[in-house]
Amino acid sequence: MTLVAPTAPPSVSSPRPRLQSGLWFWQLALVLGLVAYLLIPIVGLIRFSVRSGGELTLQFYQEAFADPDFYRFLGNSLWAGLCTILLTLSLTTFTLYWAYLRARWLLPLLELISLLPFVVPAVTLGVALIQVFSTPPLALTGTPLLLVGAYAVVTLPFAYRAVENSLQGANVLTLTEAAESLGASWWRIFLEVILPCVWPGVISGGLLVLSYVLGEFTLALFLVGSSYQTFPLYISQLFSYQPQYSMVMSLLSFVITWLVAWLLVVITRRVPNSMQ
Amino acid sequence: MSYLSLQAVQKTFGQTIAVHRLNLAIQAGELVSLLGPSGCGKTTILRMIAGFERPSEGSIFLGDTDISLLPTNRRNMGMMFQSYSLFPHMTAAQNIAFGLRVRNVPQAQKFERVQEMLDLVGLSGMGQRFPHQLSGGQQQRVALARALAIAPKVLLLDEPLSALDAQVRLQLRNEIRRIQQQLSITTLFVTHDQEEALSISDRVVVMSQGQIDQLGSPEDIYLRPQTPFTASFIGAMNQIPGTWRQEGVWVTDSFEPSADRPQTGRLLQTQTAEWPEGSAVVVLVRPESMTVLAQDDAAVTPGLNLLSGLIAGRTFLGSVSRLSVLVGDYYLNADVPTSQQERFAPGQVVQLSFLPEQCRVLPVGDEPRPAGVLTQ
Amino acid sequence: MTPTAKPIVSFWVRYPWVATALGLVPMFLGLLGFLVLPVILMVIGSFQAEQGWSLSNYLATWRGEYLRALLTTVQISLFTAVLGGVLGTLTAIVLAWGPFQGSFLPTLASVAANWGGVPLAFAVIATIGNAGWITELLSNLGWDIYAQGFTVYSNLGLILTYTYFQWPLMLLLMLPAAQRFRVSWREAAESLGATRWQFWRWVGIPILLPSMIGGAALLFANAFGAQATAFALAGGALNLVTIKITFLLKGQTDFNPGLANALSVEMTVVLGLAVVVYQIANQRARRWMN
Repeated sequence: MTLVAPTAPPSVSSPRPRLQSGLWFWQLALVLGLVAYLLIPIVGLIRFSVRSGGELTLQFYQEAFADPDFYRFLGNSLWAGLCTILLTLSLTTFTLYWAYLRARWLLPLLELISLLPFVVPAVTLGVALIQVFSTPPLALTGTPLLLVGAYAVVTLPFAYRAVENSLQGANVLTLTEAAESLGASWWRIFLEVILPCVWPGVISGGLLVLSYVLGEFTLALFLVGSSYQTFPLYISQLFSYQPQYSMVMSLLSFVITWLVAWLLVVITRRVPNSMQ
Repeated sequence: MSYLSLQAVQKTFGQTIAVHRLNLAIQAGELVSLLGPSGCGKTTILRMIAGFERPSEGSIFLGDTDISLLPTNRRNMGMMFQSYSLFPHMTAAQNIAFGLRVRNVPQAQKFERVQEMLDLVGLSGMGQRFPHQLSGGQQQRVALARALAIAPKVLLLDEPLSALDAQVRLQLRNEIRRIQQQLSITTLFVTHDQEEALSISDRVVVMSQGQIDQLGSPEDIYLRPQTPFTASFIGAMNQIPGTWRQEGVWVTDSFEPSADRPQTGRLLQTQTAEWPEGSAVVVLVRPESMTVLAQDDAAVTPGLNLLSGLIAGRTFLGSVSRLSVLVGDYYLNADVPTSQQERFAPGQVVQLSFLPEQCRVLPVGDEPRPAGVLTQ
Repeated sequence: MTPTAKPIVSFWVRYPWVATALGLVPMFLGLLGFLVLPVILMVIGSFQAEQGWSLSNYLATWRGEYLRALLTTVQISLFTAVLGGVLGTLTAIVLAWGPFQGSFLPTLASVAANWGGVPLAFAVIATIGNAGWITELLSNLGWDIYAQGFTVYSNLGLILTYTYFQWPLMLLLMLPAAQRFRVSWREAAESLGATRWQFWRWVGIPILLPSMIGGAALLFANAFGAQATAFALAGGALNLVTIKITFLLKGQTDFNPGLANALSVEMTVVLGLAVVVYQIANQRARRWMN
């Protein structure tokens, strides 16, 4: 559950220091070691999910995907993800733009937000939220509303990083002033000038948020538990009575993460340099 | 015996030839500039001498030793980079001391040498500062001191001034020249700035496409360019297309065909040269060599070349104003002193006059120039 | 009677700060309601026992299993931060300077660094658990790791699991620094006569060190605050702070929110320190590298 997006290809095309070619064996060993370390557990997942009593079978895949609970819980996660994206990104985009425009002193403070989840990890936030929102005037525990609120806070850094990158590249101040001088109202400027400029950042941020929410376990466990089962909770529960299903689902989660990462790379590549 | 020499050095990167069978000999104690547009191979030459690149063919000699295969750290050459090459975690003094530390020079001696170097580059008392506390010009001074501290056999400067502000650049380049002469250290200076190269070098190597285009003293390069490339690369140069004839160069001059001058061309007197009759040539004249005459000016001295044209534009350049004059179907630039610029306005018909000695004639085209044909 | 012309001054022009403040209100309220106030209440709660204000929660966390949990968590986090830090740094240098340029590895690394949690725990169980494929492979080769006392539900198992995301995370954190390392630093050192060893000792490592320390601090925080992976891997078998908190809050027998609050506050303090280290190191790295 970390906060690093795949890095865009380096913007500096300056020559890099070269390693002595005598080290090639160690370089290769290190890189292959990493690839192996990251792929071996996946092989474990695959192997576990296709074997039944020593025979190869796709039975578990058929059964796991035939379970109506799977669709319900994945749907729950997706719904929470979409709500979070809407909330976090609209809030971040607007606030950041506003800060750029009118309160630049706020920017360094906002930047600290991106370190927030390291200081207040999901466990701590869960502990804090569960107690506030379990007493009557605010009894939200167990409702998706609380979960979305919590997710909106934890995913702020994703949204912040992605949108900030786009805003910085788009030179919003000049664009806004140009639009203002042409007589546009600021609301119109935001929707018609700024938003299209930061769109790639907003989409990247949205993908990261979605990827996070689809894999988030701790907050879901703490705040909603069984009353609003999410996909990771489902994977975890499956393990105790049908481990093969949970392996299938774990694989699915890996595939989803891959998909998101791949889409991010595609988006980053497609964005013209002038807008980065 | 030259001090540093490159013999038939070739460098290829994949399919592209960066340096093409190049010969160059540098004498001890001289400052030679490698001048050319980006991608002409000048930096590659420097990097081969420093040992960062290995020549694909040919050899590099220091004295009579072939150093082509010697690793960089045993060549004992000081190098100054474009910018930001100072180690950011070391103070200026520590940076300067680095080469001495590598050589296990005793502490006291090291300290003394660092002070000496700081004094030399005019940074006494700034030894304890970190690079990020120094200005760009100061950083480059430290880089120079660092390169000199090891008493290098050759000093290699890779566009060391290109990242600096104009004023600092001017100051530092004079400083580099002063120190170079004071230590009489053999120096190779790579730059794309012609003014820089002309002002501080003993000799200039003009490079183009991996080859030496012209090699000579700054005066040679400026006053007697041997190729159209050098002529157009160094300073502002008018190029008048024409045809070589026995009695001079025939150029088109179709601006004003009139009753008393029906022909649309002129014969220009130039420096003597021997080209095949009727071959296409180009006449080179610098804007500052042109005298501009209004129509009511006194008749000119015979023997002067004359072209008439229409002033198309005027640019104020400070001490002079540069007129763009339409002559025939080409434009020529001519400088007039600023005090006279009011006399010449766009739309006016003028005469351009210039001395035959100030015209150089070069053949047109990309065919290799026959060496030694040009006479002064 | 002609009324004197009044200059048209809009409210928003006269009081620009009102609009500025209004625009920031939504974010402010959101953070206040879902982060700041709950955390403050958590801190207050940690100082309260049944009889009112008290340090009893904290005192309870400093002895017995809770103290051990704190120490184990610190140890494991430090260990994986250093292990992942060294491996990640070396890999980043190889990727940035070596022949393997391109975006496949960074993409794979970002997937691995983001994936963590429950699925990772199960993948590890399927690999080096009792019936994992590596376990079986090794025992077919005559090396039965479980007979020698290894189990995936142990601290060693957890370290191996955390390395799965720590290593690629460090790679991603160090890659920009390795890419910004200037060739001219290396070439200057070389031209001044430095050998490869001298270059690394006096130039390469010192310049990369702030980025490494900053990255390792984030890795430490990342491992310290991780809950899902450990919980899914071994549940109560692992004695970690986050696991303890989970049982104090969700468990039937251990239920004790006050203690959970105190542990969370202690976690926040440790993590805060790690992030301060990161900030300081990162600032220095930025000053050197831009």
